[in-house]
Amino acid sequence: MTQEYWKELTEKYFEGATSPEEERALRGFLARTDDPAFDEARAVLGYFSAQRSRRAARSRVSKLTGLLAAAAGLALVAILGHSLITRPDDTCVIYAYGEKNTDTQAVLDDVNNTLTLLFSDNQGPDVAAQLTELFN
Amino acid sequence: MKRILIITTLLLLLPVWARSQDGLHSQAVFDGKVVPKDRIVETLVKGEYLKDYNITLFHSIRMDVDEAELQRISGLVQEDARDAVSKEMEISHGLLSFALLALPPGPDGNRLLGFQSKPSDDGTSTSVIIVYLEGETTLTDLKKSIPTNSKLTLKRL
Repeated sequence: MTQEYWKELTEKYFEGATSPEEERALRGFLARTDDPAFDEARAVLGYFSAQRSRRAARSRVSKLTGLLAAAAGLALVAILGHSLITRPDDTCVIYAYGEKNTDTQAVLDDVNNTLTLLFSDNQGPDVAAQLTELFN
Repeated sequence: MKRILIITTLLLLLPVWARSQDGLHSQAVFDGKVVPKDRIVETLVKGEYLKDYNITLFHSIRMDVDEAELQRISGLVQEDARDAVSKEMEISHGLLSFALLALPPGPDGNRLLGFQSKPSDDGTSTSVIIVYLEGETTLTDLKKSIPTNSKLTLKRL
């Protein structure tokens, strides 16, 4: 291809009439030639190339940040969701006058007895006597 | 994006912070603000252990109290009774002696509060039990499921 062809293509470029393929070819030619006749075209195309590279880099960083944020959000939702779904956590403990007791059977006996005291119709002197004994 | 994450986190944490029991007047008793923790027996059971009762949370406090403490606790329970959707209460000598309250349901199901007080033989103190329950069960269900001839085996802890 002759210098004339590239000059025409450069003019076509400045008129905004080049196709992407022609623009790519022109950029390749400008990278190879050091003819001062194409300095202006080289400067303009070089500027836009640099802009594109920066935009592409920014876009990559932005996409990466977005992905990381989305991943962090999903992880957070998964962790909190799991803790909410599994709530209430299994717990079985008595604190008697400040002393911790985790004997499951003792705790469940206490639960059963307390529920019986409150919800059973069998609330009579025996229950009162046992309560009194319990607290004395 | 950061704002969305912060708002999402806060919304997700909200139900964790806002435990149903926290809104009760009688929460002060469970927190040891009426009778100090070294004078109470606190029982806390959650989860699988309670499936037979169809409840997910059992939190009880037992203690011996003087007259002023009894008045304060029964006052707090009566405050909670104002918001109850159903209740059974007995008042003896001007003081609450027994209460079963069905509170407005919370995010974890029904919320029930039980209270019982019995004066000691020598009349110097009163034994009090206060219980908070959460789950699918109701007052009626619990009355049906607790056998009337249950043998009580209370042990001094």
